[in-house]
Amino acid sequence: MNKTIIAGITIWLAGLYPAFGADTWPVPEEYNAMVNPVEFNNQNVRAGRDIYDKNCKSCHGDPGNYNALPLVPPPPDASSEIMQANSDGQLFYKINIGRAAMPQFETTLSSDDIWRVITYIRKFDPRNVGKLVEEALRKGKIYALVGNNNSTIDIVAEEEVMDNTIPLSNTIIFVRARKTFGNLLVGSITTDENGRASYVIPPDMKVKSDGQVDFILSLNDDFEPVIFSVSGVQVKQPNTSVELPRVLWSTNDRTQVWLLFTYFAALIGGWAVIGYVILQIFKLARLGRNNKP
Amino acid sequence: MIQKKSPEEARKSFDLIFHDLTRSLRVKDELSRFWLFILIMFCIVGVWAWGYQIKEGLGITGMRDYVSWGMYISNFVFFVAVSLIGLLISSIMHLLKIHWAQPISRVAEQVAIAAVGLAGLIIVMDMGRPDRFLNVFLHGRFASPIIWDVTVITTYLFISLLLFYLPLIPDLALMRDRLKGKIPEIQYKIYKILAIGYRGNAQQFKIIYHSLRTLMLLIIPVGLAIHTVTSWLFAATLRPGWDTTIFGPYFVAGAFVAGTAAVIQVMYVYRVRYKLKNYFNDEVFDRMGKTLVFVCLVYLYFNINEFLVPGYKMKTAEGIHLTELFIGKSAPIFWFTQIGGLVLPILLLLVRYFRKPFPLTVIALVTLVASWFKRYIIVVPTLEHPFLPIQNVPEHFAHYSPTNPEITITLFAFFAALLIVTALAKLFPVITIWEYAEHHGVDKKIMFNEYEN
Repeated sequence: MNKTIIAGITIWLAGLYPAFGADTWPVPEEYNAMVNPVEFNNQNVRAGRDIYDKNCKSCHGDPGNYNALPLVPPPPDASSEIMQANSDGQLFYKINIGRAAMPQFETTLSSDDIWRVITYIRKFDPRNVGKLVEEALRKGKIYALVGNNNSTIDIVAEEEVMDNTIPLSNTIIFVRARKTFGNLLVGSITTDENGRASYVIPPDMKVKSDGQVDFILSLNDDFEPVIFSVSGVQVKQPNTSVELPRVLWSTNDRTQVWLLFTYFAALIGGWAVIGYVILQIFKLARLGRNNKP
Repeated sequence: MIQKKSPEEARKSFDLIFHDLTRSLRVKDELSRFWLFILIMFCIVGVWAWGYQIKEGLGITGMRDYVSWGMYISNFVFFVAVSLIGLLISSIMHLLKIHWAQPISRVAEQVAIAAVGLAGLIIVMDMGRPDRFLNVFLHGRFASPIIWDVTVITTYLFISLLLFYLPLIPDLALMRDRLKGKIPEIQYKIYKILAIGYRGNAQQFKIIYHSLRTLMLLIIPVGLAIHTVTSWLFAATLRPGWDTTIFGPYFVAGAFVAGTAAVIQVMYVYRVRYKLKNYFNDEVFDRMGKTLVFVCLVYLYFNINEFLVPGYKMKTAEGIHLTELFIGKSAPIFWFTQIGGLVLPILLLLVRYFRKPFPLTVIALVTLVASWFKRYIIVVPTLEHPFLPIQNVPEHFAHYSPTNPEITITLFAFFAALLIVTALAKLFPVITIWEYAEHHGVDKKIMFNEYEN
């Protein structure tokens, strides 16, 4: 399906390509000299990566892997010379305005976010190799218990710093619920100075018929990947009734009442009248027998 | 309007009416034998083709995965449509006391019985496993609109039979009283049994009138339902050309066109064959011509609405469908149905000359044929454009063209319907004798010799 769509778009765009002439993309003068106001550091690169993954990756692919979509004109890889040859201001202009299959992001992303994406792209500039020192990932731990009559999840977070364990304060904990396919982010909560937090389970949470939910807690990307599962939390009473709803196109037992009523009312009504008329015919015959000339 | 006649005059005039109207029972010449022979031969060939189809399966038809409804369903819708004339003429026109329509009410009932009976049979013939026919009644799905079809067609057939039989009872009694020895013994016995000892007294006539009125009221919702639920077979699906809420009234309006045209054919044959010039007279034909114009106008209105609304929108699938109908492969049939079935009768029948019996019959025949193709154009082109992509299938899966056995079975329906109408005409008077005589100044007491008792 996806391949069909991609192929279709490719062919369509192939027709447009000559309209652009050579593969140049003129940028207005005033943009050329613009400077990225966002500082080139780990935090901003990470923020830029998140935005890139959501908005750009589907066409431009993973930077350095050259796995962009085969569109015409081709979306360049973020680490490619074509991409890096642009000045910051040129990139800013192109992301903002777009052309052909490159969407206009002016309306969907803030300028700050666009600058962060540019910061992330610059990470792959050969001139920047070694400039950014990767900080070592921190080691965090999460523990949790179901509390307060299955209505909260009480969380304790710790960090290992040089063989010592200290409470992990003011850190975001992500709370996800396990679905049949993947996990759904249902909330996030920040720990207090003691590394504690209490997540209140929403009372209107959608649950399976057994009423149970598996919660998965995790930390952000500053930490080594760590999760803590709280399985089988009885969020709601199990739904023990086996009665299935009456729906359209169902079996006779589960046909909607109004359909049954309409049908049988018409059927019984109509045939009752026919039966009455047949009775009248019998009456005719009886009258004939009684009144012989 | 009705002039009272003196008893002597009335008796004379009644004798003449009775003689004329029972002529159809007595005509036994070469032509009628030949006609019966033709009908029966075609029916036998049709039944043979059906047997072949049962043996070989529905694969011998032109229907495939995409076009799974072909000639059979078109034919079914056509016959259901024709049967609706019973509702219009013998119920609505009777209740409205439209007197000129009175002589044709039995013709309308004959056509209705033959058509609705055949409609049921056509569905069985379209079944891959007709041996499982009873399951339709035993295991009907209440969630499906098709259950209405099964129920309503059965009900309508039953009401039509009763509506045919009830006004026939006094006629049967008259024939029992007057035809002894003049007709074969077995035929006489049939009349005697069916007349259920009818004496023609006031009490019995009261029951007849009362029952008739009850049935005439009942047949209105049932008759409207029969063609409305047939339209649901189409309207309940999400397909271009079918997915519209107006299909019920659209079908009913079209049904009156087909039925009126069919009744005109039968009327003309009776008029000529049974020498009933004074009964199916020029006035009746003139009025039927005007009726045809009226129902055609109503149907034209529905047609304009049905094609203009999607025509303005031209949604993708709908647009492909309409283009196919207007200028594509189906265009010749489509424009034939629209012009021959609607524009032509409306324009021509406004002229008095064309409402004379013979021209009217010819025009109505064209309308009737166009009505059949109209059903074909409703059923087949939509199926030829499924939403699903047609790929990796043989070329002939995507198109529909009926095969010879299929056409034979379809023709069978026509000949079987004509056979039923012929049999009814040969067995029973084609006009209700007592009602007609009463309208022409003959007292019921004279008909049933009550003065003598």
